[in-house]
Amino acid sequence: MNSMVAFRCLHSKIALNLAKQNLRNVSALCATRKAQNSLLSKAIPVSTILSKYTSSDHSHSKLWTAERVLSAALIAVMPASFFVPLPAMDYLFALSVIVHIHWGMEAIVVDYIRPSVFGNVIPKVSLAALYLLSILALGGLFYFNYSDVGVTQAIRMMSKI
Amino acid sequence: MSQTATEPQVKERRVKKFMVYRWNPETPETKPYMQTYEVDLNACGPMVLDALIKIKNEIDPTLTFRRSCREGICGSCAMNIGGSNTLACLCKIDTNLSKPVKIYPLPHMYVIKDLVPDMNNFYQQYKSIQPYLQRKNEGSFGSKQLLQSVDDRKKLDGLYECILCACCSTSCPSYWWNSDRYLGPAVLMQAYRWVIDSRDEATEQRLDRLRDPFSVYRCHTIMNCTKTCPKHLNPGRAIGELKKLLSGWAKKEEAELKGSA
Repeated sequence: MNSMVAFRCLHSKIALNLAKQNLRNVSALCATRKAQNSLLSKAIPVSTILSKYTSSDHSHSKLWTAERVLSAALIAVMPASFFVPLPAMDYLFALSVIVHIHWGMEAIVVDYIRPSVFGNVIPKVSLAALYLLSILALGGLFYFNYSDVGVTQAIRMMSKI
Repeated sequence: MSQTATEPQVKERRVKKFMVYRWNPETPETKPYMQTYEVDLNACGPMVLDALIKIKNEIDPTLTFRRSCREGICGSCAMNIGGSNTLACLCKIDTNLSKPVKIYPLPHMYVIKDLVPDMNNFYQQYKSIQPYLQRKNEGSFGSKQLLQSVDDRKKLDGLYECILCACCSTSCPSYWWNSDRYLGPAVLMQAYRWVIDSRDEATEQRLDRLRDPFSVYRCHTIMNCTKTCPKHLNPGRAIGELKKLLSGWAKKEEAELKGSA
């Protein structure tokens, strides 16, 4: 069995080496033409991951877990806040929905507004703007819960119109 | 009657159009364009790679593409055919003659020439996950066989078969936008393959290297990777399992057999 695995590993390694060699041949070919062609003499951007590992990047695993737990909890919180007419449920509803939306939007902002396209400033500003927007939305809903009929009651009233 | 039997049968030509992405680094002022070739399917093998080789041999020797094994084991001829990433050697030519076959290089990769993409970043990412067996106290490496039970070996099925053709990674929108920091499905599946190998003892270090917000967590379970894989593997599942291991919801099982023989 082990020898089979070893053989297969070897096989795939050979395939990879061949592919790499292929690439090297191509780059060697390109290198000979570099003098004529400025496009190819430009360094093609490659990943920064190797340097990244030396820096201490924060862990994202706990946040990911929290996102999954909240998504699952929303399945219960959404209907519960309509069946249980408590002011506390209004706050729970507002908090969980806004945080859920915020995390979803954050993924979109981080994915699309990225430093490799927008530079170092705009991504940070966009993320800050998103945080501000989410806090405003949460504050607004809390204020509505506190001073008016509450979010769930408002939705109920809207559905009656 | 006898006349028809002796007459050589003239087969009707089945001309299929192939539209191929062309770009030549030596004429950078010419923008990339699609060039149409006509191939008689009666005089051509059944796969797209057969047609490409026929075009290169008989029509246009300047057409450039990678190919090697022509049987889906080397992963060289990965390209975008008819809108999906696949290996040209495993992709049958659609015999509907009214529609042309459109062939592009792997999406969102830097093109070296025609259908040849630059794979450097991809290989560097693969290197970064340290795709080799790591032991804590290994004396002379390779002198003895490491034991592995049949069941532990079975966990590697569906992972070790990957040929690193990059069809999955280049079909992933997250990889399109963030390939400088997100590792992509192919590399992550290999990361998982070494994490769950019962003989490997660097599991924690391997997982710790993936905890940042980008290496794994740019995966949003779009599942293009699994849909496109020409070897019918499931990188999407492997990334899911990695996330479970990273969050602590799952633990790597103890090896059933330890030591060497």
